[in-house]
Amino acid sequence: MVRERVYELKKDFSQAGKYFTYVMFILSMAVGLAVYNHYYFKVEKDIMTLAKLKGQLQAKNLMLKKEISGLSSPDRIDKIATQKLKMKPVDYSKVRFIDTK
Amino acid sequence: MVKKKAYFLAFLIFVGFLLVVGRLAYFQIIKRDYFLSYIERQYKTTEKVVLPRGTIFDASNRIVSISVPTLDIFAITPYIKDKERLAKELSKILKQPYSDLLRKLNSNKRYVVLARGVDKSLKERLIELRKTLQEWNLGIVETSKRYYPLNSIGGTTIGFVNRFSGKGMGGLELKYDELLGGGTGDVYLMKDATGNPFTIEKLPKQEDTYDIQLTIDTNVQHIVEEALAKLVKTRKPKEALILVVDPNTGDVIANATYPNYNPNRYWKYKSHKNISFHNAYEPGSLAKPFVLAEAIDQGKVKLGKKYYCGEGKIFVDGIRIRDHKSFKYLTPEEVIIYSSNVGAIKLALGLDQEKLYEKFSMLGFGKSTNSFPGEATGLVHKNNRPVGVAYASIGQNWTATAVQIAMAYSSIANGGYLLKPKFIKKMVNRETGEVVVPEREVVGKVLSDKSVAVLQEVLKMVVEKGTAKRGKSDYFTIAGKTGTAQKYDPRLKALSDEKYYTWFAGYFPAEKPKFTVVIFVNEPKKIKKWERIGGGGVSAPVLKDLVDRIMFYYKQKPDKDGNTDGTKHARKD
Repeated sequence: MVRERVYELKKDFSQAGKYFTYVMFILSMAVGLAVYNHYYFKVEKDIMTLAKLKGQLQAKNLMLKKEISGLSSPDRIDKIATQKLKMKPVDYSKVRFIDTK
Repeated sequence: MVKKKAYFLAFLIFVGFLLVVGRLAYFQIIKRDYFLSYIERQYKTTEKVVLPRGTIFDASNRIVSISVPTLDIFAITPYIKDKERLAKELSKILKQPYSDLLRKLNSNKRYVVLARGVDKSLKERLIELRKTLQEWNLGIVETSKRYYPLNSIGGTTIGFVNRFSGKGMGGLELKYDELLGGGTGDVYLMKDATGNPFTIEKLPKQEDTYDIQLTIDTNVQHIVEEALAKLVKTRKPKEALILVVDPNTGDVIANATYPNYNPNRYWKYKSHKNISFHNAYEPGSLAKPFVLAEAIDQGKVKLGKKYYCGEGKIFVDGIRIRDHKSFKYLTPEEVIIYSSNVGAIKLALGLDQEKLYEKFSMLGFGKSTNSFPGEATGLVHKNNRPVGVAYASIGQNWTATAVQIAMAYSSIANGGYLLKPKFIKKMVNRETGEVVVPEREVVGKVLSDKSVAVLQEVLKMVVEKGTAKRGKSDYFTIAGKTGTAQKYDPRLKALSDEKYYTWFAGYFPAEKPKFTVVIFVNEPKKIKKWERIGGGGVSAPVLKDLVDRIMFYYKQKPDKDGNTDGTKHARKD
């Protein structure tokens, strides 16, 4: 009885062995697809995160540019120069030009 | 039997597969559009937002106009659960009155915008608030707002952008609207499970938009605005302006106007006029140098020869026209230097009148320069009656804009060429980085070399010893002409003796002109009761400080009396 079973099993295995390459091929394809899928979604997620970060940085950059421009406003600089530092408009009689040839 | 069972089972499986495939086909093919839109409704949303425009820089690369990312906060009111609490919490974050927000939330409208142009840094707090209060119908959308970091500096020239439509509505923002892009567009956003838009799916593409660098230098603009503010403080006029252009390229370097406005709060101002371009005024004696130029070209005048100037008055067609002073004999040069009306009228009456009007037209008067939106043309009446020609020669009965005057006087400075005013130094394509540098545009040669040579000398003398001597600089040579025009008083139905337009137009340094300047005041008030209002007393004195400050800003050496190194004026210590 046992002998017969072992024989059948051997037969089944030898039968299955014929399709082993196909099975392995399908399996490896499936694993490959799963890995690719995982990688694809990871990259997709990274792209989204980076795009969001890019947007945030661009927004921050624009806000900083706006602030720099506001801070370098001639109006503001003039107020600091005249009110805080007590500077006066130029008097040409006190200016010397030095030629550097 | 077993075989039959196997076939039956296989058949069942096959039918099952068929059913699944059929159902899939139903979803994927027949009901495809329905389900796609169903999914989109759940996960996607469309919002109308103000799109960012190109940045505007000044000549020294300082930002004058920029689109900054902001937030618009809106609510779908029927679905707001606790309006009072939401208004209370929002007022703390947005720093807006609670009552205003509550009024908006209680309005009959289904969709209300609670706040526009909110600082983007508040986004996290707003999302947190929405989550805490479970108010999923409070919407937060990223948009952009046009911001002017220099506030009112150059306000009327830069113009403004409509805060709702995102389109240029005035000044250079309007003129270069297409180049700068902007406007509004539908943005497709992907929402997360809480309804918060988390990623932009599709942003409307703006093709061929540019960042623009202007010829305006905000430092010079500030200097000029300060000088104008001083003038306005002392003279309390209705309107005033100072326009500075480069006579060699036509570049507009500064344009200060009174009244002015802050483009960040444009809706608070009644008028958005830029009087340098939008209004035309009678130029008064500024017309006289062009009469002399025409007289030289027609060969109808002998330079250096003394002409009788009527001792203060002249009768033309029975109408008496007065001079501001009684002159007996003046050379044609002196007619300009001392601005004699009678002298100029006599010169004009001896000319071919058609050609005189043609000269005015060639100089750009009566025609728009097409450099600014809504620009006035001015009006040159072709009145061939002697009295018409007489008034035309002294700049009465016809009008010109400040920019026309600036370009006409620039033609004296640059050797006789009329140029088109220019605002753009360069443009950079925002996509490709391609740089476009506009060339100067020469309209034509409008003054002969001979008349230019004479006018250049005469206009120098106007500032040195003539009517503009109060504007004389100790360090730089200036050439120019003052002008005064009486305003028409509708109550008197005649020219007023109280209300005037006063002008100065000229260029500096006189030897190698770098700047043309026009100073105009509408109805200046007298400082002293006995004062006689005129271009020499009102407009010219502004020059002195202005010239010194502008030239120092450009690190220019004094050119007066051959002082190229400034040593004569240097302190001896």
